Amino acid sequence: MYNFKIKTEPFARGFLNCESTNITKKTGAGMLLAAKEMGIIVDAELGLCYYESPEHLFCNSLGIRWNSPYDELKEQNPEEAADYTYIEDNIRPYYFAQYPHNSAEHSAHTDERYLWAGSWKGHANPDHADVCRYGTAAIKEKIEICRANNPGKDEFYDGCRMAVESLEVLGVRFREKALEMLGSETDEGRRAKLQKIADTFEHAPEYPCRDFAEAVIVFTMVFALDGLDEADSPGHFDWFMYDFWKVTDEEVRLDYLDSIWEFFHNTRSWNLTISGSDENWNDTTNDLSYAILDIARRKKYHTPNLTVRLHRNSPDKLIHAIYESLATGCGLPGIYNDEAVVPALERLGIPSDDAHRYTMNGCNQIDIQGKSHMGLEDGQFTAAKAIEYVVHNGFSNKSGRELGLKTGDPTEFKSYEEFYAAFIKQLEHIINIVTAIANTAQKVHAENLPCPLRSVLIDGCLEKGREYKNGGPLYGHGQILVNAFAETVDSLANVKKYIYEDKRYTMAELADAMNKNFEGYEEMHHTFKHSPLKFGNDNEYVDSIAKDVMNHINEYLMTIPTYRGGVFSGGCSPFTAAPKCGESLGALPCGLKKEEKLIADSIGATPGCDTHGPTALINSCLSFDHTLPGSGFILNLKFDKEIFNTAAGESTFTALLKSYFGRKGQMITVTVVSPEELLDAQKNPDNHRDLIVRVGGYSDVFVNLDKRLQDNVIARTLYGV
Amino acid sequence: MELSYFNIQKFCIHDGPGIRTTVFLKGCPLDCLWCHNPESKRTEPEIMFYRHKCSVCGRCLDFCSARSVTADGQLIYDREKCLLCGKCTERCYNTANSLCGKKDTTENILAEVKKDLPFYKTSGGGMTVSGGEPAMQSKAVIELVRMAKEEGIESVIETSGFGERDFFMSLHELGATFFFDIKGIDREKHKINTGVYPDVIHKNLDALIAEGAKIVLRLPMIPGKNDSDVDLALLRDFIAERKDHIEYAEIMPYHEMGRDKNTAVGREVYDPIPAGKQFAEKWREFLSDSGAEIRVSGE
Repeated sequence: MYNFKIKTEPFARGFLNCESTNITKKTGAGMLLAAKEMGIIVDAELGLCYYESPEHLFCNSLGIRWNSPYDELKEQNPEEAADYTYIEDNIRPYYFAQYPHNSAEHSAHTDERYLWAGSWKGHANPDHADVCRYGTAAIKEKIEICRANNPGKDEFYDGCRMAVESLEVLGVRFREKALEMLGSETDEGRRAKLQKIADTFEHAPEYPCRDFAEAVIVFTMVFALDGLDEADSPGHFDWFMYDFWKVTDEEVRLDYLDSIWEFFHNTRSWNLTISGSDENWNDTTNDLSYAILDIARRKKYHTPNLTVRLHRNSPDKLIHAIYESLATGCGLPGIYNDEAVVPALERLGIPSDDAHRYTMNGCNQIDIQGKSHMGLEDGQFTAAKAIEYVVHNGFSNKSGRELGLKTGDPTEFKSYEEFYAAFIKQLEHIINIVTAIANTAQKVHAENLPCPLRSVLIDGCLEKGREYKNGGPLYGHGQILVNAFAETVDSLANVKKYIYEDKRYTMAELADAMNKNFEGYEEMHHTFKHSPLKFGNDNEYVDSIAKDVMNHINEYLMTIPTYRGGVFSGGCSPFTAAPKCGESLGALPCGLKKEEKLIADSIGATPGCDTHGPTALINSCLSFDHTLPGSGFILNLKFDKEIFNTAAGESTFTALLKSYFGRKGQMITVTVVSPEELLDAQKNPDNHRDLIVRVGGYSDVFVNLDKRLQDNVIARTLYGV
Repeated sequence: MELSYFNIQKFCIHDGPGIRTTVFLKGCPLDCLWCHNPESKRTEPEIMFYRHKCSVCGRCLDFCSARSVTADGQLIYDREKCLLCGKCTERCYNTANSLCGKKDTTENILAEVKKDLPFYKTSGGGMTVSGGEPAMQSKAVIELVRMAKEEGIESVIETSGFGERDFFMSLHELGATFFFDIKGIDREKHKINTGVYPDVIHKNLDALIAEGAKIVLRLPMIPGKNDSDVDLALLRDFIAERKDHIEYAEIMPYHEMGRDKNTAVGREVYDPIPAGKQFAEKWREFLSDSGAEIRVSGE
């Protein structure tokens, strides 16, 4: 036992004074002491309870959270300096172990920024509502039963138990605080809210919630503790809340839905899912689904990201509600197709009934709520880098370092087939690296950053006696995203056509042009940039390449096991790191110069290159198999605002959606072309050749119009808003 | 058979029901002052030169005998001397040139149209043949529409109505819908505005009506050209007589989006004020007295 002088840092004190070497147990002890001492908030406006931001240390969904060094505190309080030093020396190693991508082995690749993996500790969809449904008393019983079945794992179960007890401690504190506030509160509305909190925690969280208000209060408490400071994703809200929703009065439940929506927004919660099919393809849409769509449309918040799941039996009423929301231009909801996602999950070996229970977390990662740890965003890579490695025989164009394989002098290649074979080798090499880093990272995270609360809320962990990051959950697959896909395909198409078929340029010229960023090769650059061979235009020549590359990536990933006991799975979605991938690339045969940062949006075309409208883009994107990738696989469709203002708008949108989903497209997001984009098109026309002016019987693209006419179109767009 | 066309535009949602692919044909016997697809007039291919994109870099002077630069730095493109080699479209870094128009077989055109068949099915759409004037290439158009029908694709024909009777009758027999332009009733004004008298057009319309064809009237409305009170009254009465035989009539208010294309093909720019919403509403109100349903394009 270390004798702390400081009164702060309860997590650290609990963690360090726990006389165990088991990291899960230590973490549970830290959480329990924090629950007793941390700052709590009872919000009488929303009627919800949550926490003050912990000063420096806590364990949240990501593991131990380390906010800031103690240097300043040590200076201000010299008599406590020893305490802070002790904490730093003893907890810091756990936290800083999480950056294996900085190791000498991998840093050459990660420094280049064409791939990253493992630095993210991970999203998941724990079933927070377990506490609402069963109560902590029942959960503790389960812990004890599992403990009995798994001898020798007492410390793991102790840690889990303390995490659950943290909730009970907090429940008592919330009730006390609410009663105390009632003493001075005069406003009727706020009094009612405080009374409800006090009543709820009279029996919760030990025992099940009795109505929607109680369930929202308890859910918030669990969700907020799990994601302290970094809220994760609520998951399939209209499923797990419906039993409570349906027994509650309309006015009350709408009031609490409003409250929790504000809470989700304030905490920047990631992703909330509604609707979808059950294992018999029955539709599960209910009136809570519609209430959520309605509130998302009215509030127009960007968080949480709303996901709707569609399938063969989705009601037209739901599609209509989706349209109404998208027509506001808010970009919500994102729309997923069970017909593609469920088969993709089944390929990973997930049984049908659980595959139908998928939900979204993070930006666009897929998990099985309360059953898996796979949507954590293990890593991503820039496929176009493989082109550089082939052309420069293993060398990076950007840094000049030898990071790829030696696939031979490309000027010796006799055919496109030889070039393509070398490309595939380089691509697999990149995937091998990214998955290796991801697995190293997962191992380190499992050893250093456990989440006892998640181990309780995700099936499999208690049953197996294994922690959530250590292969406990029922499904432990991984997800790797591909970036710059269209640029890769366009580059291959140009190489095939202009170097091997037309022999317009030699491989040596291409290598030199790429090295010199097309300087002195303006004609070649122009040819490549304005080549008609661009992905996204329903062009068989290009799309057949796209099909081979994308299917290969997704199939190859599934051959590589994850540390967590599954296999990797592919995906393609926009992410904050995606624009950076452009920076990692040198000049490419798709016509991209080194300084150009604009790269393809998800599975779609390079910006401005899909010049034939959404139907052509959709057809191109359907050239590859959407039932292979088990992570988000996104097509972003961009519409002129005008389409939403015409009578034909809804039927047009519905027809596009049904055609795409009917042919097993996986996911659609909708962006409305903004006046800002049109303004940008005036300045950078080459990036916006896809903007078609649609007037009856008329044919032209926006960038061909002169400034004054463009201004008119912009005015029209504004008028529509 | 071959067709001369200048664009196959996907995802058209204003030219007939549902999601459509519009085949814009090249060649038109009319010469409407306000033409918004002027690149469709000539049947033969031509270079469209967008002057506002030209930086007068002079690169094209190396290979093009039709171009020169004047003393004050203007690039001159002489259409008469152009050999239509198309090099300028490949080599101009500013994409100021494009080759407009090509010939292809009806089979190949249909193959392109067929790519969006799944969307026609979910939207009730199909193919629209527009122009130019489809009647200029009547045999090949009939063949294209017949072949489309065999694939289960319904056609809409956008026409000025200026062509041989048999052409329209054949298309009607193939189940096509006609988006039939009425650009004015007064004979002399029609001649001035479009270069032709309207008699053939009106007769063709009535012949189609007599056969029970599916017809939508399209009414290009050009401020100062065909929208006087007299013009409107004549038009209203013309529609009223036929109101039971048309699905609806659609006002196409003049817009100036075709301005740059007129310059690009070396045609004089007709530049009246564009018809804003208030114009369209006034016309709609007036023409509604015909008893027919009057729509305004783009609503």
